[in-house]
Amino acid sequence: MEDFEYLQALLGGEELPEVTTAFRDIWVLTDGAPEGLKVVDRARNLAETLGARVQVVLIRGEETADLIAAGADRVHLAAGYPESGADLAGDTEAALNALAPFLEEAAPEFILCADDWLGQELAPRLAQRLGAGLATRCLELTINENDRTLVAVRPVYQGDYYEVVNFAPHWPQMATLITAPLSQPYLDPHREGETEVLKPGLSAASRVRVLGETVLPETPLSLSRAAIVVTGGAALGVAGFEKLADLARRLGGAMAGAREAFELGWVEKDQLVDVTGHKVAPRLYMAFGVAGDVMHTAAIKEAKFVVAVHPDPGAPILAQADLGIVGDPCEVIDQLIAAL
Amino acid sequence: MDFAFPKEQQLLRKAFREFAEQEIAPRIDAIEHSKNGPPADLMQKAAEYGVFGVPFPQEYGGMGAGEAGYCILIEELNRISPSFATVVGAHIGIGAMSIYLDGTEEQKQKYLVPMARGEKIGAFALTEPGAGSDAAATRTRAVREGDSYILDGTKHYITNGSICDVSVVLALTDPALGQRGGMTAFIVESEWEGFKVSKLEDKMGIRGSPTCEIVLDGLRVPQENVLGSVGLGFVTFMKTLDVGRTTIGAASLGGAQYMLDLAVEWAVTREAFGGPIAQKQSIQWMVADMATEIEALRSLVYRTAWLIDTGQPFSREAAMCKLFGSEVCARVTDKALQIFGALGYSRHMPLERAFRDARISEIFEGTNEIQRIVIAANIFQEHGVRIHP
Amino acid sequence: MKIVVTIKQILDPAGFTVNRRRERVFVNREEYIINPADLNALEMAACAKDGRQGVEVIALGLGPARVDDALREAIARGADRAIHLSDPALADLKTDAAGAARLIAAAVQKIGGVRLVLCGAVALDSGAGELPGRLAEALGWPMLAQVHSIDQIGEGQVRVSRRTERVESDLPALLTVPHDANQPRHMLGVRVVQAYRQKSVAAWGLSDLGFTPNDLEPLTSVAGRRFPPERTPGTRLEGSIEEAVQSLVAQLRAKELI
Repeated sequence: MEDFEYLQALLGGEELPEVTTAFRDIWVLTDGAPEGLKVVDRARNLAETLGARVQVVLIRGEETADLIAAGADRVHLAAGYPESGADLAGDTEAALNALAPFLEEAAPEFILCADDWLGQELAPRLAQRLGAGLATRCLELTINENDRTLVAVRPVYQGDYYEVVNFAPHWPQMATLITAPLSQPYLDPHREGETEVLKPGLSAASRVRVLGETVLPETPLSLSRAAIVVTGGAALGVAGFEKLADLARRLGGAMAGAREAFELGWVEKDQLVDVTGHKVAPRLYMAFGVAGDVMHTAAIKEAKFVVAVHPDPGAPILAQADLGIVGDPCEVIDQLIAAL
Repeated sequence: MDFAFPKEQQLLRKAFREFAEQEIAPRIDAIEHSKNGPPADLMQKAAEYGVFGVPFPQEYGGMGAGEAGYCILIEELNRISPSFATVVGAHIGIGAMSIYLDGTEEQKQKYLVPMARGEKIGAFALTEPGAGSDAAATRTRAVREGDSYILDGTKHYITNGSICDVSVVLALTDPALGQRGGMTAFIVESEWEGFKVSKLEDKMGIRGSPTCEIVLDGLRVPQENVLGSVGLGFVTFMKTLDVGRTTIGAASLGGAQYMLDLAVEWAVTREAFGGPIAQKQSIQWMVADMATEIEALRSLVYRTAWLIDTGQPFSREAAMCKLFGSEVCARVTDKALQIFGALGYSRHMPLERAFRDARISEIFEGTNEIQRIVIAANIFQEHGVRIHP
Repeated sequence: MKIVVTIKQILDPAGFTVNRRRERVFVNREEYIINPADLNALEMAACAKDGRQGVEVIALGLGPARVDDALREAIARGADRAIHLSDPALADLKTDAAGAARLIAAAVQKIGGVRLVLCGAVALDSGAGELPGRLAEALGWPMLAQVHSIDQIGEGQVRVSRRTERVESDLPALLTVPHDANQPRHMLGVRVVQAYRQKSVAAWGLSDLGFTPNDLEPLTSVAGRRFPPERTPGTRLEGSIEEAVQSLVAQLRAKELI
């Protein structure tokens, strides 16, 4: 949808009103990760309709080439700054204290970043400090043609439906983007852009200190609360269940068995997904070698997304799954583990 | 008239339901197969959460939730495990309750407080091989000897008999007077010499609640353990049973509601003849009948609990709760089984157990026949006629 | 030491169904629950109180009259008392997270002597995760995000464990707690009874906090709904197993499922 509006604007369909405030340009905050490039790409598209420039603040490293190729007109390097050597990337306190005064002075019209640690930890704090409206985890961003405000579409209730968020005519306006569904950015090696090093000397004091590493103890996931459940059936075979347990661990989900697997003793009663066992309501449900009779499908009615793998193309579950693969469940698990 | 459940009771219901679903539901198999009552760690947890003293005032170690709160507890426990609910119900509703109703302050401090905290488990020993519905035919003897009584006799079908620390026993102190002045209630401790559990019943249902025969053989009971007045034990026992009836209604309500919930969910899931069976009139009528009876039972049970909590007469209504509740639960469970069809007949589904568990409600705690007599006697008494059962 | 736990009451998703084809949300049963991650935050506060002297846990909720029920439940689950920020003016205002943060910060200042504020990391309804950061800023306190356990509370610092690192912060501080940090404890029956009889919930309005409705004009507002595309059961992934799995992984990643 955004591409259509972009084309319309290019073809002279709508012209946005000129900027009347002191706020200028679309700014992108990134630590250089690929997600950031996608946001720069999106900012580039919006900038065309706005008649604005794209300015990027890079808080880790000095790799500006891709950022410029993706659409940055100017990249501000914050990595070597402040002189204290504090690593701004990963220290929200330091990054906030270093960047907020700079951004306040720069007066962006819009500030975007990806839904990573920057979007989750820094953006809300920055928004409050700048007195800016914020829409997090946006799937779509457009500009309201009447008053140059952002219009965002974002998921609620874990994606059950979406809400359209309007911004009041007050700037700067901020948004963070879910980048996974965005296509790879278009990189133009001939684009030119400037690089600037942020003025050193401003304090990046932090009241937070990292003490060391830790590993969380593994807590067993209860089936009814797990966000991901992977289930094995008769066609998976007993050897497949070890792989299934490995897959469950890697995905951070719970392992379960269908009726046949339980009767063959491959799983315990508290792992049984069936009308005679447990009902589950995960965001992702994957059934390997489960035929999927009504006793089973009744127990997974509330699953948000179902993937099924079965060697028999006529297995009932394949007709009900959101995505199905006809094939050997063991082989699919092997490939999945390799791809993760 | 305000028919709404107060917010406090709504939150209590949520708390009890959470406990039942998260702590008891995963242990149903262990409960059903145990011969010594529910697993000790589960009983411990229940005690920590205050389950064993729900109706009793906080100064006696209870939760202070009254009869209404207690009905809510039993309703929620019975949804998940009638076996567990029966253990709790016998302990609170008749065991500890008799001490609460007729005990001296010393007796309440010595026995009621630890029972309310779940530190001691209680039982109620009335029934004998020759005295079931005919409670007046009690034969267990209590003979005065110095400053104690010696008890001899057999009690059977005693819930919690094999796991209780304290029980309340009805015995004959004066055979000539019989039920009118000749029976006395005693508080008995299981570890006393002469208290023997002799036989465990192998029951059709509520198999997780231990039901057994107790033999009292030269059991010496100190006189300070007389509950109520000497000679008025029959009154104490009948008074306790009166209150306890309401909770059988609540138990039946919980079981019936659970059956309805399961049946409704199945009806919207199971497809036949082109759509969910909820679209078929035969199913709709069964569900409508089930829901109507449950709604009527709910009003009856909680109104009776309100009568008890506000100190008004309640005998007739309590007997109605027990009578109507047990029969509603039987009808609802039967219809639920029909809605599930062959799947419901499988032992892997909870209906089979629910069917067996429900049947006892028409028999224990005073058979439904006795309940009908109580109700009729109560009505005719208002017109000046005394019924002789 | 006072610990404040923010409590958000949300519409229970078990009570509504979304019909994508008809682009409507059908509310079958209007029921409300406490945001699940807030229960984890409350549990963390209750754990901090276990075995320590002089810790008071205060639940703080913002919203209409029904939020009172959520606050009573919070007391039943371990809070010592609760404060309800409520004002008829707020209903029309549709305050956004920026305004809510300022209101809650003012309430925390008014309570006085608060050393820790614990928030659920994300609200199940909005999924925005915006309020905790805004609140930390409104308070002027450091924020520790995604805390799994509080390890030590000192005179001027707190030490916590996150998923892969241990971190220390100056006090006072704000912590956000993810939904898998711990297992919230059951409601103690006697606390349920006390929550309604002996414990009271204090109600504060805008004027108690020094705000007028004009101060709280929202910066963002919800203007409408959109719906995801309809599910397509029976879709098969074609090609070799390797190709099918690649496509599967790409699709699952795009939907943020893995």
